[in-house]
Amino acid sequence: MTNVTLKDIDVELNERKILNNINLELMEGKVTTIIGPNGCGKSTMLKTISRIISAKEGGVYINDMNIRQMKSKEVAKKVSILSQRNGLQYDIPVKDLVSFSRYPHLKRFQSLKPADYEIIEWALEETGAVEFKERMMSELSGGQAQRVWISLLLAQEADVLLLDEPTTFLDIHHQLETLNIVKRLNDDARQTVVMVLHDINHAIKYSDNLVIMKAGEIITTGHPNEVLTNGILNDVFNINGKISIDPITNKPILADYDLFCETVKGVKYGS
Amino acid sequence: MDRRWYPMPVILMGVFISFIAAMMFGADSYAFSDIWHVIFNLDMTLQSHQILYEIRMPRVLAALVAGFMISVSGLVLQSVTHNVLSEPSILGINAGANLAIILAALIIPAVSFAGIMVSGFIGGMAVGLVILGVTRHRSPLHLILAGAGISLFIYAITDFLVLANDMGQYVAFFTAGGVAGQSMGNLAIVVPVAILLVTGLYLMAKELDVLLFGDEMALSLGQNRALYSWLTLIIAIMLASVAVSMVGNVVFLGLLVPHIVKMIFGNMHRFTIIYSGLFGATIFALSDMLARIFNETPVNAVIAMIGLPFFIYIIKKRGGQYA
Ligand SMILES: Nc1ncnc2c1ncn2[C@@H]1O[C@H](COP(=O)(O)OP(=O)(O)O)[C@@H](O)[C@H]1O
Ligand SMILES: [Mg+2]
Repeated sequence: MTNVTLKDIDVELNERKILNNINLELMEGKVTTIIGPNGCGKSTMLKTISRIISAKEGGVYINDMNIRQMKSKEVAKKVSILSQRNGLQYDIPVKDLVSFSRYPHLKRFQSLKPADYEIIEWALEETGAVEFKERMMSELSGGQAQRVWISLLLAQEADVLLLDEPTTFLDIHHQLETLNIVKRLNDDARQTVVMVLHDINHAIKYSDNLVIMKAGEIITTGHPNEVLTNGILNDVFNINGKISIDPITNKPILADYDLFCETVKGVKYGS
Repeated sequence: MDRRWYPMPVILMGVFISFIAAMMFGADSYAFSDIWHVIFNLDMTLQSHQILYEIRMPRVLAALVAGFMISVSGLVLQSVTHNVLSEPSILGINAGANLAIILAALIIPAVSFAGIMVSGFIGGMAVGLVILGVTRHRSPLHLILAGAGISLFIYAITDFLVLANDMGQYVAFFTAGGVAGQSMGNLAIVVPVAILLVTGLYLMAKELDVLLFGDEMALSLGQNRALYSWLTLIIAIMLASVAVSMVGNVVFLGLLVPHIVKMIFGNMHRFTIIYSGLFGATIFALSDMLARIFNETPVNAVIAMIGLPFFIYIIKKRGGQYA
Protein backbone atom coordinates (compact mmCIF):
# COMPACT_ATOMS: atom_id res chain seq x y z
CA MET A 1 0.00 0.00 0.00
CA THR A 2 0.99 3.56 -0.53
CA ASN A 3 0.35 6.22 2.05
CA VAL A 4 0.28 9.76 0.76
CA THR A 5 0.32 12.64 3.21
CA LEU A 6 0.40 16.37 2.52
CA LYS A 7 2.10 18.27 5.32
CA ASP A 8 1.83 22.03 5.84
CA ILE A 9 1.88 22.76 2.12
CA ASP A 10 2.09 26.28 0.76
CA VAL A 11 2.25 26.75 -2.98
CA GLU A 12 3.01 29.98 -4.76
CA LEU A 13 2.70 30.57 -8.49
CA ASN A 14 4.02 33.83 -9.92
CA GLU A 15 4.46 35.07 -6.35
CA ARG A 16 0.78 34.59 -5.67
CA LYS A 17 -0.19 32.28 -2.86
CA ILE A 18 -2.34 29.53 -4.38
CA LEU A 19 -2.39 26.91 -1.61
CA ASN A 20 -2.26 27.82 2.04
CA ASN A 21 -1.26 25.40 4.77
CA ILE A 22 -2.71 22.23 3.27
CA ASN A 23 -2.70 19.17 5.53
CA LEU A 24 -4.29 16.00 4.23
CA GLU A 25 -3.80 12.26 4.41
CA LEU A 26 -5.22 10.41 1.44
CA MET A 27 -7.44 7.51 2.53
CA GLU A 28 -5.74 4.39 1.24
CA GLY A 29 -7.84 2.31 -1.11
CA LYS A 30 -10.70 4.79 -0.93
CA VAL A 31 -12.18 7.37 -3.26
CA THR A 32 -11.61 10.96 -2.19
CA THR A 33 -13.31 13.75 -4.11
CA ILE A 34 -12.22 17.37 -3.99
CA ILE A 35 -14.91 19.97 -4.55
CA GLY A 36 -14.64 23.72 -4.52
CA PRO A 37 -15.20 26.73 -6.72
CA ASN A 38 -13.20 27.45 -9.86
CA GLY A 39 -9.71 28.72 -9.11
CA CYS A 40 -9.64 27.57 -5.47
CA GLY A 41 -6.54 25.43 -6.08
CA LYS A 42 -7.88 21.92 -6.72
CA SER A 43 -5.75 21.32 -9.79
CA THR A 44 -2.77 22.89 -8.10
CA MET A 45 -3.15 20.47 -5.22
CA LEU A 46 -3.24 17.41 -7.52
CA LYS A 47 -0.26 18.71 -9.46
CA THR A 48 1.64 19.21 -6.23
CA ILE A 49 0.95 15.63 -5.19
CA SER A 50 2.25 14.32 -8.51
CA ARG A 51 5.33 16.56 -8.40
CA ILE A 52 4.38 18.65 -11.41
CA ILE A 53 4.37 21.72 -9.15
CA SER A 54 6.67 22.07 -6.16
CA ALA A 55 5.55 23.35 -2.79
CA LYS A 56 7.16 26.44 -1.33
CA GLU A 57 6.69 25.23 2.21
CA GLY A 58 5.92 21.78 3.53
CA GLY A 59 5.88 18.68 1.40
CA VAL A 60 4.18 15.64 0.02
CA TYR A 61 5.20 12.38 1.66
CA ILE A 62 4.83 8.96 0.08
CA ASN A 63 5.28 6.30 2.76
CA ASP A 64 7.02 8.90 4.93
CA MET A 65 9.44 9.87 2.18
CA ASN A 66 9.37 13.42 0.84
CA ILE A 67 8.73 13.19 -2.91
CA ARG A 68 11.44 15.79 -3.50
CA GLN A 69 13.91 13.27 -2.15
CA MET A 70 12.63 10.49 -4.38
CA LYS A 71 13.67 9.77 -7.96
CA SER A 72 11.06 11.24 -10.27
CA LYS A 73 10.39 7.88 -11.92
CA GLU A 74 9.79 6.35 -8.47
CA VAL A 75 7.15 8.99 -7.77
CA ALA A 76 5.55 8.24 -11.14
CA LYS A 77 5.38 4.57 -10.23
CA LYS A 78 3.40 5.45 -7.11
CA VAL A 79 1.22 8.32 -8.30
CA SER A 80 -0.36 8.81 -11.71
CA ILE A 81 -2.37 11.83 -12.82
CA LEU A 82 -5.02 12.54 -15.42
CA SER A 83 -4.77 16.25 -16.04
CA GLN A 84 -7.72 18.56 -16.43
CA ARG A 85 -6.77 19.73 -19.88
CA ASN A 86 -5.29 16.87 -21.77
CA GLY A 87 -5.84 18.27 -25.22
CA LEU A 88 -3.11 16.95 -27.45
CA GLN A 89 -0.98 19.31 -29.47
CA TYR A 90 0.08 16.44 -31.71
CA ASP A 91 -1.94 13.53 -32.93
CA ILE A 92 -0.98 10.02 -31.93
CA PRO A 93 -2.43 6.50 -32.23
CA VAL A 94 -4.27 5.37 -29.12
CA LYS A 95 -1.97 2.45 -28.40
CA ASP A 96 1.13 4.66 -28.61
CA LEU A 97 -0.35 7.21 -26.24
CA VAL A 98 -1.17 4.52 -23.70
CA SER A 99 2.34 3.11 -24.07
CA PHE A 100 3.70 6.31 -22.48
CA SER A 101 2.35 4.94 -19.21
CA ARG A 102 5.16 2.41 -19.11
CA TYR A 103 7.83 5.11 -19.20
CA PRO A 104 8.46 5.19 -15.44
CA HIS A 105 8.97 1.43 -15.45
CA LEU A 106 11.58 1.43 -18.20
CA LYS A 107 15.28 1.84 -17.64
CA ARG A 108 17.31 4.36 -19.59
CA PHE A 109 17.46 3.42 -23.31
CA GLN A 110 15.14 0.47 -22.69
CA SER A 111 12.15 0.02 -24.97
CA LEU A 112 8.83 -1.70 -24.31
CA LYS A 113 8.99 -5.40 -23.50
CA PRO A 114 6.27 -8.02 -24.13
CA ALA A 115 5.19 -7.71 -20.50
CA ASP A 116 4.63 -3.98 -21.02
CA TYR A 117 2.49 -4.62 -24.09
CA GLU A 118 0.40 -7.06 -22.04
CA ILE A 119 -0.23 -4.45 -19.38
CA ILE A 120 -1.16 -1.87 -22.01
CA GLU A 121 -3.58 -4.35 -23.59
CA TRP A 122 -5.08 -5.11 -20.18
CA ALA A 123 -5.55 -1.42 -19.41
CA LEU A 124 -7.24 -0.83 -22.76
CA GLU A 125 -9.58 -3.75 -22.09
CA GLU A 126 -10.43 -2.52 -18.60
CA THR A 127 -11.82 0.73 -19.96
CA GLY A 128 -13.23 -0.70 -23.17
CA ALA A 129 -10.82 1.38 -25.23
CA VAL A 130 -9.29 -1.70 -26.81
CA GLU A 131 -11.68 -1.63 -29.75
CA PHE A 132 -10.23 1.64 -31.01
CA LYS A 133 -6.61 1.17 -30.03
CA GLU A 134 -5.44 1.41 -33.65
CA ARG A 135 -7.26 4.71 -34.23
CA MET A 136 -5.79 8.19 -33.92
CA MET A 137 -6.72 10.27 -30.87
CA SER A 138 -8.11 12.98 -33.15
CA GLU A 139 -10.72 10.53 -34.45
CA LEU A 140 -12.23 9.78 -31.04
CA SER A 141 -15.24 11.25 -29.31
CA GLY A 142 -14.81 12.90 -25.92
CA GLY A 143 -15.99 9.80 -24.07
CA GLN A 144 -13.71 7.51 -26.04
CA ALA A 145 -10.74 9.80 -25.51
CA GLN A 146 -11.41 9.85 -21.79
CA ARG A 147 -11.34 6.04 -21.69
CA VAL A 148 -7.96 6.14 -23.40
CA TRP A 149 -6.62 8.59 -20.83
CA ILE A 150 -7.87 6.40 -18.02
CA SER A 151 -6.18 3.41 -19.67
CA LEU A 152 -2.97 5.41 -19.62
CA LEU A 153 -3.47 6.03 -15.92
CA LEU A 154 -4.09 2.34 -15.28
CA ALA A 155 -1.19 1.02 -17.28
CA GLN A 156 1.12 3.22 -15.24
CA GLU A 157 0.29 0.81 -12.40
CA ALA A 158 0.49 3.40 -9.68
CA ASP A 159 -1.25 2.84 -6.35
CA VAL A 160 -2.61 6.36 -6.30
CA LEU A 161 -4.72 7.71 -9.16
CA LEU A 162 -5.35 11.44 -9.42
CA LEU A 163 -8.12 12.51 -11.80
CA ASP A 164 -8.69 16.19 -12.42
CA GLU A 165 -12.26 16.78 -13.61
CA PRO A 166 -12.52 13.49 -15.46
CA THR A 167 -16.16 14.13 -16.37
CA THR A 168 -16.04 17.72 -17.58
CA PHE A 169 -17.01 18.00 -21.25
CA LEU A 170 -18.76 14.60 -21.21
CA ASP A 171 -22.50 14.08 -21.55
CA ILE A 172 -24.33 12.59 -18.59
CA HIS A 173 -24.14 9.04 -19.93
CA HIS A 174 -20.39 9.21 -20.43
CA GLN A 175 -19.91 10.98 -17.12
CA LEU A 176 -21.48 8.03 -15.35
CA GLU A 177 -19.61 5.56 -17.51
CA THR A 178 -16.30 7.21 -16.63
CA LEU A 179 -17.11 7.35 -12.93
CA ASN A 180 -18.24 3.72 -12.95
CA ILE A 181 -14.93 2.67 -14.47
CA VAL A 182 -13.07 4.58 -11.78
CA LYS A 183 -15.25 3.09 -9.05
CA ARG A 184 -14.84 -0.43 -10.38
CA LEU A 185 -11.07 -0.04 -10.51
CA ASN A 186 -11.09 1.20 -6.98
CA ASP A 187 -13.24 -1.76 -5.90
CA ASP A 188 -11.17 -4.34 -7.75
CA ALA A 189 -7.63 -3.14 -7.33
CA ARG A 190 -7.96 -1.14 -4.12
CA GLN A 191 -6.19 1.76 -5.72
CA THR A 192 -6.43 5.06 -3.92
CA VAL A 193 -8.42 7.50 -6.03
CA VAL A 194 -8.46 11.27 -5.67
CA MET A 195 -10.59 13.19 -8.12
CA VAL A 196 -11.94 16.64 -8.70
CA LEU A 197 -15.62 16.81 -9.58
CA HIS A 198 -18.02 19.67 -10.02
CA ASP A 199 -21.26 17.73 -9.72
CA ILE A 200 -22.05 17.54 -6.00
CA ASN A 201 -24.35 14.55 -6.45
CA HIS A 202 -21.65 12.62 -8.29
CA ALA A 203 -19.27 13.51 -5.49
CA ILE A 204 -21.72 12.08 -2.95
CA LYS A 205 -22.47 8.97 -5.00
CA TYR A 206 -18.91 7.94 -5.76
CA SER A 207 -16.80 9.08 -2.82
CA ASP A 208 -15.85 7.73 0.57
CA ASN A 209 -14.38 11.03 1.52
CA LEU A 210 -14.97 14.63 0.51
CA VAL A 211 -12.40 17.42 0.63
CA ILE A 212 -14.03 20.81 0.41
CA MET A 213 -11.78 23.65 -0.65
CA LYS A 214 -12.11 27.38 -0.90
CA ALA A 215 -9.55 30.03 -1.77
CA GLY A 216 -6.50 27.79 -1.44
CA GLU A 217 -7.53 26.21 1.83
CA ILE A 218 -9.22 23.02 2.89
CA ILE A 219 -12.45 24.02 4.64
CA THR A 220 -13.40 20.58 5.82
CA THR A 221 -13.02 16.88 5.04
CA GLY A 222 -15.10 13.86 5.90
CA HIS A 223 -17.70 11.40 4.73
CA PRO A 224 -20.26 12.99 2.39
CA ASN A 225 -23.02 12.20 4.90
CA GLU A 226 -21.31 14.28 7.53
CA VAL A 227 -19.78 17.25 5.78
CA LEU A 228 -22.40 18.23 3.24
CA THR A 229 -24.70 20.76 4.74
CA ASN A 230 -26.64 23.68 3.40
CA GLY A 231 -24.34 25.91 5.41
CA ILE A 232 -21.22 24.57 3.67
CA LEU A 233 -22.74 25.02 0.23
CA ASN A 234 -23.66 28.54 1.13
CA ASP A 235 -20.21 29.26 2.51
CA VAL A 236 -18.10 27.61 -0.21
CA PHE A 237 -20.06 28.01 -3.42
CA ASN A 238 -22.23 30.90 -2.38
CA ILE A 239 -25.36 29.04 -3.46
CA ASN A 240 -28.61 28.42 -1.75
CA GLY A 241 -28.54 24.60 -1.72
CA LYS A 242 -31.10 22.27 -0.28
CA ILE A 243 -29.58 19.02 0.92
CA SER A 244 -32.11 16.29 1.63
CA ILE A 245 -31.72 12.63 2.46
CA ASP A 246 -32.35 10.25 -0.41
CA PRO A 247 -34.97 7.82 0.98
CA ILE A 248 -33.53 4.89 -1.00
CA THR A 249 -29.79 5.22 -0.43
CA ASN A 250 -30.01 7.09 2.84
CA LYS A 251 -27.31 9.36 1.48
CA PRO A 252 -27.59 13.11 1.21
CA ILE A 253 -28.68 14.50 -2.11
CA LEU A 254 -28.49 18.01 -3.46
CA ALA A 255 -32.17 18.28 -4.33
CA ASP A 256 -32.35 21.87 -5.41
CA TYR A 257 -30.10 24.85 -5.59
CA ASP A 258 -30.14 28.43 -6.69
CA LEU A 259 -28.16 31.59 -6.37
CA PHE A 260 -28.99 33.89 -3.55
CA CYS A 261 -30.85 36.99 -4.57
CA GLU A 262 -28.42 38.46 -7.04
CA THR A 263 -28.57 40.52 -10.17
CA VAL A 264 -26.47 39.54 -13.13
CA LYS A 265 -26.53 41.75 -16.16
CA GLY A 266 -29.86 43.15 -15.14
CA VAL A 267 -31.58 39.79 -14.87
CA LYS A 268 -32.88 38.91 -11.44
CA TYR A 269 -32.17 35.37 -10.31
CA GLY A 270 -33.57 33.61 -7.26
CA SER A 271 -35.67 35.42 -4.78
CA MET B 1 5.47 -5.97 -36.46
CA ASP B 2 4.09 -2.45 -36.47
CA ARG B 3 2.52 -1.60 -39.80
CA ARG B 4 4.50 1.61 -39.91
CA TRP B 5 7.56 -0.50 -40.72
CA TYR B 6 5.89 -2.09 -43.78
CA PRO B 7 7.03 0.57 -46.29
CA MET B 8 10.66 0.10 -45.19
CA PRO B 9 11.74 -2.27 -48.01
CA VAL B 10 10.30 0.09 -50.61
CA ILE B 11 12.03 3.07 -49.05
CA LEU B 12 15.38 1.29 -48.81
CA MET B 13 14.96 0.38 -52.45
CA GLY B 14 14.28 4.06 -53.17
CA VAL B 15 17.51 5.07 -51.44
CA PHE B 16 19.44 2.50 -53.44
CA ILE B 17 17.87 3.57 -56.73
CA SER B 18 18.60 7.22 -56.01
CA PHE B 19 22.22 6.30 -55.29
CA ILE B 20 22.51 4.50 -58.64
CA ALA B 21 20.71 7.30 -60.49
CA ALA B 22 22.86 9.97 -58.88
CA MET B 23 25.95 8.00 -59.91
CA MET B 24 24.73 7.60 -63.47
CA PHE B 25 23.47 11.06 -64.32
CA GLY B 26 25.17 14.42 -64.10
CA ALA B 27 27.34 16.65 -66.25
CA ASP B 28 28.30 13.41 -68.03
CA SER B 29 26.15 10.30 -67.93
CA TYR B 30 27.36 6.77 -67.46
CA ALA B 31 25.79 3.38 -68.05
CA PHE B 32 24.47 1.28 -65.20
CA SER B 33 27.15 -1.30 -66.00
CA ASP B 34 29.85 1.33 -65.37
CA ILE B 35 28.48 1.98 -61.89
CA TRP B 36 28.27 -1.74 -61.26
CA HIS B 37 31.91 -2.20 -62.24
CA VAL B 38 33.07 0.73 -60.13
CA ILE B 39 31.46 -0.84 -57.12
CA PHE B 40 32.41 -4.47 -57.70
CA ASN B 41 35.55 -4.47 -59.84
CA LEU B 42 37.13 -1.08 -59.84
CA ASP B 43 39.81 -0.52 -62.47
CA MET B 44 41.58 2.74 -61.75
CA THR B 45 43.44 2.63 -65.07
CA LEU B 46 40.13 3.51 -66.76
CA GLN B 47 39.44 7.23 -66.79
CA SER B 48 35.69 6.72 -66.38
CA HIS B 49 36.28 4.64 -63.27
CA GLN B 50 38.64 7.25 -61.92
CA ILE B 51 36.08 10.00 -62.35
CA LEU B 52 33.23 7.94 -60.95
CA TYR B 53 35.18 6.69 -57.97
CA GLU B 54 37.17 9.76 -57.03
CA ILE B 55 34.79 12.55 -57.89
CA ARG B 56 31.25 11.38 -58.30
CA MET B 57 30.95 8.66 -55.68
CA PRO B 58 32.21 10.78 -52.77
CA ARG B 59 29.86 13.50 -53.90
CA VAL B 60 26.83 11.20 -54.03
CA LEU B 61 27.70 9.53 -50.73
CA ALA B 62 28.23 12.92 -49.10
CA ALA B 63 24.80 14.00 -50.32
CA LEU B 64 23.21 10.86 -48.89
CA VAL B 65 25.00 11.20 -45.55
CA ALA B 66 24.45 14.95 -45.20
CA GLY B 67 20.80 14.63 -46.24
CA PHE B 68 20.33 11.99 -43.57
CA MET B 69 22.03 14.08 -40.89
CA ILE B 70 20.35 17.41 -41.66
CA SER B 71 16.90 15.84 -41.77
CA VAL B 72 17.27 13.94 -38.51
CA SER B 73 18.65 17.09 -36.92
CA GLY B 74 15.65 19.10 -38.12
CA LEU B 75 13.24 16.51 -36.77
CA VAL B 76 14.80 16.48 -33.32
CA LEU B 77 15.11 20.27 -33.20
CA GLN B 78 11.39 20.57 -33.97
CA SER B 79 10.49 18.15 -31.18
CA VAL B 80 12.76 19.52 -28.49
CA THR B 81 12.00 23.17 -29.12
CA HIS B 82 8.27 22.47 -29.58
CA ASN B 83 8.51 24.60 -32.65
CA VAL B 84 7.31 23.39 -36.03
CA LEU B 85 9.61 25.81 -37.84
CA SER B 86 12.85 24.71 -36.21
CA GLU B 87 15.57 23.50 -38.52
CA PRO B 88 19.35 23.91 -38.56
CA SER B 89 19.58 26.99 -40.80
CA ILE B 90 16.74 28.85 -39.05
CA LEU B 91 18.39 28.18 -35.70
CA GLY B 92 21.54 29.84 -37.01
CA ILE B 93 23.55 26.63 -36.80
CA ASN B 94 24.65 26.99 -40.41
CA ALA B 95 25.69 30.61 -39.97
CA GLY B 96 27.54 29.88 -36.72
CA ALA B 97 29.33 26.86 -38.11
CA ASN B 98 30.25 28.83 -41.21
CA LEU B 99 31.78 31.69 -39.22
CA ALA B 100 33.68 29.36 -36.91
CA ILE B 101 35.08 27.43 -39.87
CA ILE B 102 36.30 30.65 -41.49
CA LEU B 103 37.88 31.71 -38.20
CA ALA B 104 39.57 28.32 -37.87
CA ALA B 105 40.91 28.59 -41.42
CA LEU B 106 42.23 32.08 -40.64
CA ILE B 107 43.99 31.01 -37.47
CA ILE B 108 45.29 27.67 -38.74
CA PRO B 109 45.71 28.04 -42.52
CA ALA B 110 46.13 24.31 -43.15
CA VAL B 111 43.35 23.21 -40.81
CA SER B 112 42.38 19.55 -41.22
CA PHE B 113 38.84 18.43 -41.97
CA ALA B 114 38.48 17.16 -38.40
CA GLY B 115 39.46 20.64 -37.24
CA ILE B 116 36.84 22.15 -39.52
CA MET B 117 34.24 19.79 -38.10
CA VAL B 118 35.04 20.65 -34.50
CA SER B 119 35.04 24.39 -35.14
CA GLY B 120 31.81 24.01 -37.09
CA PHE B 121 30.25 22.34 -34.09
CA ILE B 122 31.42 25.01 -31.66
CA GLY B 123 30.14 27.82 -33.89
CA GLY B 124 26.85 26.08 -34.67
CA MET B 125 26.26 25.34 -31.02
CA ALA B 126 27.06 28.88 -29.88
CA VAL B 127 24.76 30.63 -32.33
CA GLY B 128 22.04 27.96 -32.08
CA LEU B 129 21.90 28.34 -28.31
CA VAL B 130 21.82 32.13 -28.50
CA ILE B 131 18.86 32.07 -30.90
CA LEU B 132 17.07 29.43 -28.84
CA GLY B 133 17.72 31.41 -25.68
CA VAL B 134 16.30 34.59 -27.19
CA THR B 135 13.16 32.85 -28.44
CA ARG B 136 12.45 30.49 -25.56
CA HIS B 137 8.73 30.29 -24.78
CA ARG B 138 7.98 32.47 -27.79
CA SER B 139 5.97 31.73 -30.89
CA PRO B 140 7.40 30.00 -33.97
CA LEU B 141 7.38 33.41 -35.63
CA HIS B 142 9.80 34.81 -33.06
CA LEU B 143 12.18 32.01 -33.89
CA ILE B 144 12.07 32.86 -37.58
CA LEU B 145 12.64 36.55 -36.91
CA ALA B 146 15.45 36.10 -34.41
CA GLY B 147 16.98 33.32 -36.50
CA ALA B 148 16.94 35.33 -39.70
CA GLY B 149 18.22 38.48 -37.99
CA ILE B 150 21.04 36.86 -36.08
CA SER B 151 22.02 34.67 -39.04
CA LEU B 152 22.26 37.74 -41.27
CA PHE B 153 24.42 39.44 -38.68
CA ILE B 154 26.72 36.42 -38.46
CA TYR B 155 26.93 36.18 -42.24
CA ALA B 156 27.82 39.87 -42.36
CA ILE B 157 30.72 39.28 -39.98
CA THR B 158 31.74 36.27 -42.02
CA ASP B 159 31.64 38.28 -45.23
CA PHE B 160 33.73 40.99 -43.66
CA LEU B 161 36.37 38.49 -42.53
CA VAL B 162 36.36 36.88 -45.93
CA LEU B 163 36.78 40.12 -47.83
CA ALA B 164 39.38 41.50 -45.45
CA ASN B 165 41.43 38.32 -45.82
CA ASP B 166 40.80 37.62 -49.47
CA MET B 167 39.27 34.17 -48.93
CA GLY B 168 36.40 34.46 -51.44
CA GLN B 169 37.07 31.16 -53.18
CA TYR B 170 37.13 29.19 -50.00
CA VAL B 171 33.88 30.60 -48.76
CA ALA B 172 31.63 30.83 -51.78
CA PHE B 173 31.20 27.09 -51.50
CA PHE B 174 30.03 27.23 -47.88
CA THR B 175 27.47 29.96 -48.32
CA ALA B 176 25.98 28.40 -51.44
CA GLY B 177 25.89 24.91 -49.99
CA GLY B 178 26.63 21.84 -52.04
CA VAL B 179 28.53 18.61 -52.24
CA ALA B 180 31.10 19.40 -54.92
CA GLY B 181 34.69 18.52 -54.13
CA GLN B 182 34.10 15.82 -51.52
CA SER B 183 36.68 13.18 -50.73
CA MET B 184 36.44 9.67 -49.39
CA GLY B 185 38.78 10.83 -46.66
CA ASN B 186 36.23 13.33 -45.32
CA LEU B 187 33.51 10.72 -45.51
CA ALA B 188 35.61 8.29 -43.51
CA ILE B 189 35.51 10.83 -40.70
CA VAL B 190 31.91 11.96 -41.06
CA VAL B 191 30.20 8.59 -41.44
CA PRO B 192 31.30 7.09 -38.10
CA VAL B 193 30.42 10.35 -36.35
CA ALA B 194 27.00 10.36 -38.00
CA ILE B 195 26.33 6.74 -37.07
CA LEU B 196 27.28 7.42 -33.47
CA LEU B 197 25.08 10.52 -33.18
CA VAL B 198 22.04 9.01 -34.90
CA THR B 199 22.32 5.87 -32.79
CA GLY B 200 22.39 8.05 -29.71
CA LEU B 201 19.21 9.80 -30.80
CA TYR B 202 17.54 6.54 -31.72
CA LEU B 203 18.25 5.17 -28.25
CA MET B 204 16.45 8.22 -26.89
CA ALA B 205 13.44 7.87 -29.20
CA LYS B 206 11.06 7.31 -26.28
CA GLU B 207 12.49 10.31 -24.45
CA LEU B 208 11.82 12.44 -27.52
CA ASP B 209 8.25 11.10 -27.68
CA VAL B 210 7.59 12.13 -24.10
CA LEU B 211 9.32 15.50 -24.59
CA LEU B 212 7.21 16.19 -27.67
CA PHE B 213 3.99 15.72 -25.75
CA GLY B 214 4.78 18.53 -23.39
CA ASP B 215 6.09 19.49 -19.99
CA GLU B 216 3.18 18.19 -18.00
CA MET B 217 3.33 14.75 -19.63
CA ALA B 218 7.08 14.62 -19.04
CA LEU B 219 6.76 15.62 -15.40
CA SER B 220 3.88 13.29 -14.61
CA LEU B 221 5.80 10.35 -16.08
CA GLY B 222 8.89 11.24 -14.08
CA GLN B 223 11.12 12.18 -16.99
CA ASN B 224 14.28 14.14 -16.34
CA ARG B 225 13.21 16.73 -18.86
CA ALA B 226 16.20 19.04 -18.63
CA LEU B 227 18.69 16.21 -19.10
CA TYR B 228 17.04 14.75 -22.19
CA SER B 229 16.20 18.12 -23.73
CA TRP B 230 19.84 19.11 -23.51
CA LEU B 231 21.24 15.76 -24.61
CA THR B 232 19.04 15.51 -27.68
CA LEU B 233 19.45 19.19 -28.51
CA ILE B 234 23.24 18.99 -28.37
CA ILE B 235 23.31 15.86 -30.49
CA ALA B 236 20.98 17.44 -33.05
CA ILE B 237 23.18 20.54 -33.26
CA MET B 238 26.27 18.34 -33.62
CA LEU B 239 24.65 16.43 -36.44
CA ALA B 240 23.78 19.60 -38.31
CA SER B 241 27.15 21.26 -37.71
CA VAL B 242 29.09 18.25 -38.92
CA ALA B 243 26.90 18.17 -42.02
CA VAL B 244 27.48 21.88 -42.57
CA SER B 245 31.25 21.40 -42.31
CA MET B 246 30.91 19.03 -45.23
CA VAL B 247 28.21 20.54 -47.43
CA GLY B 248 27.89 24.16 -46.34
CA ASN B 249 24.72 26.12 -45.91
CA VAL B 250 21.93 23.79 -46.94
CA VAL B 251 18.51 25.24 -46.17
CA PHE B 252 14.91 24.00 -46.11
CA LEU B 253 15.80 20.27 -46.20
CA GLY B 254 15.73 20.01 -42.40
CA LEU B 255 12.30 21.61 -42.31
CA LEU B 256 10.75 19.90 -45.31
CA VAL B 257 11.73 16.29 -44.73
CA PRO B 258 10.60 15.82 -41.11
CA HIS B 259 7.25 17.38 -41.93
CA ILE B 260 6.68 15.08 -44.87
CA VAL B 261 7.67 12.11 -42.72
CA LYS B 262 5.44 13.13 -39.79
CA MET B 263 2.49 13.60 -42.10
CA ILE B 264 2.91 10.07 -43.40
CA PHE B 265 4.11 8.17 -40.33
CA GLY B 266 2.89 10.18 -37.36
CA ASN B 267 4.93 11.45 -34.44
CA MET B 268 6.65 8.51 -32.80
CA HIS B 269 10.38 9.02 -33.02
CA ARG B 270 11.38 5.39 -33.44
CA PHE B 271 9.83 5.69 -36.91
CA THR B 272 10.38 9.35 -37.73
CA ILE B 273 14.12 9.35 -36.96
CA ILE B 274 14.81 6.55 -39.40
CA TYR B 275 12.39 7.66 -42.09
CA SER B 276 13.50 11.31 -41.92
CA GLY B 277 17.07 10.15 -42.40
CA LEU B 278 16.27 7.96 -45.37
CA PHE B 279 13.94 10.49 -47.04
CA GLY B 280 16.46 13.27 -46.46
CA ALA B 281 19.29 11.20 -47.93
CA THR B 282 17.24 10.44 -51.04
CA ILE B 283 15.98 13.96 -51.58
CA PHE B 284 19.43 15.48 -51.15
CA ALA B 285 21.12 12.96 -53.46
CA LEU B 286 18.50 13.47 -56.18
CA SER B 287 18.61 17.25 -55.78
CA ASP B 288 22.36 17.21 -56.20
CA MET B 289 21.98 15.00 -59.26
CA LEU B 290 19.61 17.52 -60.81
CA ALA B 291 21.96 20.34 -59.81
CA ARG B 292 24.73 18.61 -61.73
CA ILE B 293 22.54 17.94 -64.75
CA PHE B 294 21.45 21.57 -64.85
CA ASN B 295 24.89 23.09 -64.98
CA GLU B 296 25.64 23.15 -61.27
CA THR B 297 22.49 24.98 -60.23
CA PRO B 298 22.70 25.73 -56.47
CA VAL B 299 21.47 22.63 -54.68
CA ASN B 300 19.31 24.73 -52.33
CA ALA B 301 17.29 25.90 -55.30
CA VAL B 302 16.78 22.35 -56.47
CA ILE B 303 15.71 21.14 -53.02
CA ALA B 304 13.16 23.92 -52.85
CA MET B 305 11.94 23.16 -56.33
CA ILE B 306 11.42 19.43 -55.93
CA GLY B 307 10.51 19.57 -52.26
CA LEU B 308 7.90 22.26 -52.21
CA PRO B 309 5.34 20.70 -54.56
CA PHE B 310 5.53 17.43 -52.61
CA PHE B 311 5.16 19.36 -49.37
CA ILE B 312 2.10 21.20 -50.64
CA TYR B 313 0.59 18.02 -52.07
CA ILE B 314 0.88 16.27 -48.71
CA ILE B 315 -0.55 19.22 -46.79
CA LYS B 316 -3.48 19.37 -49.21
CA LYS B 317 -4.12 15.65 -49.25
CA ARG B 318 -3.82 15.02 -45.56
CA GLY B 319 -5.41 18.26 -44.58
CA GLY B 320 -2.93 18.50 -41.73
CA GLN B 321 -4.08 15.19 -40.28
CA TYR B 322 -1.14 13.09 -39.29
CA ALA B 323 -1.57 9.37 -39.99
N1 LIG C 1 0.81 28.67 -13.84
C1 LIG C 1 0.14 29.52 -13.03
N2 LIG C 1 0.67 30.69 -12.69
C2 LIG C 1 0.01 31.55 -11.88
N3 LIG C 1 -1.19 31.31 -11.36
C3 LIG C 1 -1.77 30.15 -11.66
C4 LIG C 1 -1.16 29.19 -12.51
N4 LIG C 1 -1.98 28.13 -12.63
C5 LIG C 1 -3.06 28.44 -11.89
N5 LIG C 1 -2.95 29.63 -11.31
C6 LIG C 1 -3.92 30.27 -10.40
O1 LIG C 1 -4.02 29.45 -9.28
C7 LIG C 1 -5.32 29.43 -8.81
C8 LIG C 1 -5.78 28.02 -8.62
O2 LIG C 1 -5.81 27.38 -9.87
P1 LIG C 1 -6.30 25.88 -10.02
O3 LIG C 1 -5.55 25.04 -9.08
O4 LIG C 1 -6.23 25.54 -11.46
O5 LIG C 1 -7.83 25.98 -9.57
P2 LIG C 1 -9.00 24.93 -9.72
O6 LIG C 1 -8.46 23.70 -10.31
O7 LIG C 1 -9.50 24.76 -8.34
O8 LIG C 1 -10.03 25.58 -10.59
C9 LIG C 1 -6.17 30.22 -9.80
O9 LIG C 1 -6.42 31.46 -9.26
C10 LIG C 1 -5.28 30.32 -11.02
O10 LIG C 1 -5.51 31.55 -11.66
MG1 LIG D 1 -8.81 22.77 -12.04
